[in-house]
Amino acid sequence: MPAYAYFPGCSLEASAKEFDTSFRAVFDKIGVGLKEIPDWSCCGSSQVHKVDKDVATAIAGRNLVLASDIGDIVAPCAFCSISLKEAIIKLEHEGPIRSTLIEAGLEYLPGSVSVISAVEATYRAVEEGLIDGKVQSPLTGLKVAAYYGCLLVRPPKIAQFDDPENPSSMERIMVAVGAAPVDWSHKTECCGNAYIFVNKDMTLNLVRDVLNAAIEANADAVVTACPLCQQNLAMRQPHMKQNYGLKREIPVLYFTQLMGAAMNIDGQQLGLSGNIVRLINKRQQEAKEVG
Amino acid sequence: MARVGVFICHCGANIAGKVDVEAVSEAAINIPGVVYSSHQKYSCSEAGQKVIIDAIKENRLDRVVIGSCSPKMHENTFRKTVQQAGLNSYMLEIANLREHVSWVTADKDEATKKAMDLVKAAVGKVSFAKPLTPGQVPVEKRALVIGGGIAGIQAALDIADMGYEVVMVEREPSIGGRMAQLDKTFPTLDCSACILSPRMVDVAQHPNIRLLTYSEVENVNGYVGNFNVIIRKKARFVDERICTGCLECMGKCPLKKKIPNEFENGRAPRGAIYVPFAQAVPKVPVIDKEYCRYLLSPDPDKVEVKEGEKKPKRKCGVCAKVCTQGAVDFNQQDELISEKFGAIVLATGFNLFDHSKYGEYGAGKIPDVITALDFERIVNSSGPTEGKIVRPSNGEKPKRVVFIQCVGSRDEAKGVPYCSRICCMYTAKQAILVREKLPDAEIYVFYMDIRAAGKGYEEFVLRAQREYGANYVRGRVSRIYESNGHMVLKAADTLVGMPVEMDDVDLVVLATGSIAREDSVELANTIGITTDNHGFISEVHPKLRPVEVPREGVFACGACLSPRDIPDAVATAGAVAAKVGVLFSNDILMSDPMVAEIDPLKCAACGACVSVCPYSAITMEEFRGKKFAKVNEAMCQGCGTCSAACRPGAAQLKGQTDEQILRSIEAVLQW
Amino acid sequence: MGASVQLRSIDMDLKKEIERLSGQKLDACYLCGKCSAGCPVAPYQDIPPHVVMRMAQWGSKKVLGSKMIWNCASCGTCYTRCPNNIDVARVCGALSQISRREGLVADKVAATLREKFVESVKNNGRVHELSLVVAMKMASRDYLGDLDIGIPMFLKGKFPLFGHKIKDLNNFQKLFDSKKKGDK
Repeated sequence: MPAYAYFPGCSLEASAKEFDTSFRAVFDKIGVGLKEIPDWSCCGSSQVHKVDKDVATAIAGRNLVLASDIGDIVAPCAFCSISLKEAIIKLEHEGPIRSTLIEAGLEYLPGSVSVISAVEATYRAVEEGLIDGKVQSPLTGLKVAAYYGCLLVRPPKIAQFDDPENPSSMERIMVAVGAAPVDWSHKTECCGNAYIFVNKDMTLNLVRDVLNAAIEANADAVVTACPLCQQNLAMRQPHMKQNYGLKREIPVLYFTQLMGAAMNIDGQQLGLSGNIVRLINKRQQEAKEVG
Repeated sequence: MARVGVFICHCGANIAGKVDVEAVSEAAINIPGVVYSSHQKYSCSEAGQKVIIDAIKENRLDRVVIGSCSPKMHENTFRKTVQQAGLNSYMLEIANLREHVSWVTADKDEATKKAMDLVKAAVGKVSFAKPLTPGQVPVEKRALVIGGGIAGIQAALDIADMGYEVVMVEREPSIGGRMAQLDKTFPTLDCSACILSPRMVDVAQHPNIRLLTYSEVENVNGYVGNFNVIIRKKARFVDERICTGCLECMGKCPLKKKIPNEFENGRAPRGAIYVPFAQAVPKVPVIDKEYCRYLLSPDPDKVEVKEGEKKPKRKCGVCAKVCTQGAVDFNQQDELISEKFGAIVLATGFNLFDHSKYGEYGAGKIPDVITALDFERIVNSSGPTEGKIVRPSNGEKPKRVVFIQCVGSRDEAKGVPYCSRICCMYTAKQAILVREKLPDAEIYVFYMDIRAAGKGYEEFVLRAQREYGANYVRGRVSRIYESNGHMVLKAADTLVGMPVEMDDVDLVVLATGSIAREDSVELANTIGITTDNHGFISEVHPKLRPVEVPREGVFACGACLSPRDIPDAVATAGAVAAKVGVLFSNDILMSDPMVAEIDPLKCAACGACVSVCPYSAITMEEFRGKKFAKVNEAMCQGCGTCSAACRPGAAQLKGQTDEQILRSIEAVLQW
Repeated sequence: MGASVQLRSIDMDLKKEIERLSGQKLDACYLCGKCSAGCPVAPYQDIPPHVVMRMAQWGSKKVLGSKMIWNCASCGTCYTRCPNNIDVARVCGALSQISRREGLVADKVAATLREKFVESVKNNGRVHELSLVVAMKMASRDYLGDLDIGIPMFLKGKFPLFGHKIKDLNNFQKLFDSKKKGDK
């Protein structure tokens, strides 16, 4: 069984728990191992980066070293995967930061490890046919807007995955589980990041634009692959409907939750609400009647 | 013993500012063989040259070293100088103290030391120089012009008018090039076709010009005055000598209106048998073998037929049936034509940046985002919409038209770093054309800088703004996307420092930059010349020799050198014609004597030189039973490859012999 | 106060400091404004990104007091589309560092977020989201806002009361400290 070194990241331990559980469940189902990196620490994140870019690279580097015995890293959170990817590029040339790591008992060997996001790992699995035969309950008729947000495919020099302006990997995954991706305009627009705590009004404006674009494209749900995106888009919808011109409420899910549903994984384990399960069933029913 | 004179040039402060010229000159006198050494402010000046001549005479110098600028600049000057003093002009060596020393060395002491070393090397080398005599070669007074756009047309007409024969080779079925695709021209707004087509006709009718369209240059051999060129004349499947240009065949082709017409930038269709546009020269159609049903169907004579089965028949063939002249000839084959020329003119033009690299502008997938060349065709009365400006998505008149400049140009990340030079002007022109045809339309032009440095250009751009109401917004557009059937544009007005979000944009015209032809490097290799790192043909000197390329007898004009507008293309074409005229005013040319020679006594007849020579200038000869290699001095370009490959040391490059090179290395190490 | 904001000459020291901290070459920017055009947060700021870049080219201290440098979401839109390969987010990051050092922070809440985030990372090796959220609520004085969201999340176990401390915290913290040593 192939295995990745799994880097959950801080959010997947807490607010984005269902991303963690659903991702693990799906990968278990398709037979790809996820071995959690022992004693992993913060990825370096954009916040640390803005305080000191070299410290950010060093603490990201720590995780790279810890993972190198296991294999290539999969980091679901977009911030984590981009931070770790950037550290790999930086550490190639930054001797002093490698020395800092050695002082902390961590020797980094350039080229020893690579990093991909959960979307990339899943996309590869789909391309390799690993999900064939695992989709017992295809999400027929369910229209989804695949939302990439910012750092999953950007900046292209670091992400090195998919098209930065019009990505399509998540759509490919959704097709593989029977759902119908919609074509829409705000796939890669920013959700406002952690600025919900800083400038709530600004963030809600950004979120409203993204959600309305998905609604105008007739999507039943938005699928994301980032804890911040999911939370910014999913929360406060009633408030936005009342005060920000949100056209209607729309479910926002991790793409792995929908995959799990298509693979008949228990809804509880996926963190899916009853409403979503009913919506999926309804669409499947409709499709049957039409078909 | 050699009597060498050393002359160190200050080149004003160019050399003297970094190199202690006095010290170099003083040190030189101690080099064995040097009997005279001095330094001057400008050796290339008349006074400087006189010093050299006088010193040669007074000191009975028999060879000379000049420490100055690159030999590319003044080697010829100084060859003449030493000749005037009575020496063979090859008894001279230049030490490059400017490009190789003062301009590239930071430290003064280091620079001085390096200058001394180079002078030593030059003395060592010149001590073993031998007098050389140039050979003589006749000049074939015929010119080959490659490319039938406005630059090639102008060059061909000018050369032909001087009385010389010209062969014009054009890859497309018709001459005319890019200019034929344009609607109006800036800044005068005269119709492009109206001023171009008379010249196209002139080319066709000129008694000194032979036109080979649908043809490509396949191979170039030889040297200035004597090029041997092989031209592939692609099968046209229509006999040019018989066809009357009635074009009856085109109307009957079943694929009529089925194939995107390249001339219309794919925005209007053509058939499999076609002329690209109405004013085509020659007005003889071609049959596109990629599409023609007849040519794609299996040849009955080559198909194996089982007993009892009927032989298959060729499909279609309608064009041949309707042609009253019998001009359609499906059996035509590509023809290889071998011709001799004294000069070659490159006028192969340019291409346009492919905006599919711009995902943020829809990567070419949004129907109402078009290129400026698309716009030229759309606004042209003989184009796909008969001159009506409409949205490709729905055929309606646009109310809000946006022009975006610098798409691909000035973009190190996704495009090319340079400015394409013509886009500011054609965008202003297109804005004016929009206003003329759509009086009520809103027009925006997003720009970064306006580059309008030509005669009447700045005034033209201001007219577009003031009289034609084009709203110029300074800022690069970030994104264009479709949402709910609307086109949305996100930009910024950098002058007020505010983001711009424009909804309901109907038509976006991208000013895609000018790039080199994708096969320009290949063509350059065929001809044996070089391109810059963007694929444009390199000139000998960008200021002083702007239309000559570093292979003698080859010239270039128009946009294959760099992006340029029509006036500049025409001006360089005229310049090329003048250069060709100068060349053809000679009946005989002096050939460079610095070519290879092979000592038959040392030659082991191994043939290594024959196989490495890139110019096929070496052949094996036999004399009284002994085989040896021999150089054709007229064909040798003096590259020295044979000399490097020759193990017994029989092949030597005159003026750069092994001995000379070893002596110059020795000089640096010893003295 | 009506302080003069006239530009006089380029402050090379500040300019070099920005370049060092950001790793970006400021003069590579020719101010086309494509960053401002695509920036999702720019419409809500005092100055757009290209003005940040221009002020940084001058080495103008005024830019240190801008809100934009604190509110850049690091979404990478500008960097992805920049014709000159400049990562403007990095420039904003560098400017915010200097702004904090000089006491010119224009967005205290954003600065608190960053401070608390890094503090949490440094003390635990990972971020403890709940303490971060509480700190932000205090900083923005939005004590009761979003309780309708927070309480159910807490009940679902998405906000564990205590954060996870990594085992090898000692060596982890060296990664912060040894860097400072190198600086001196």
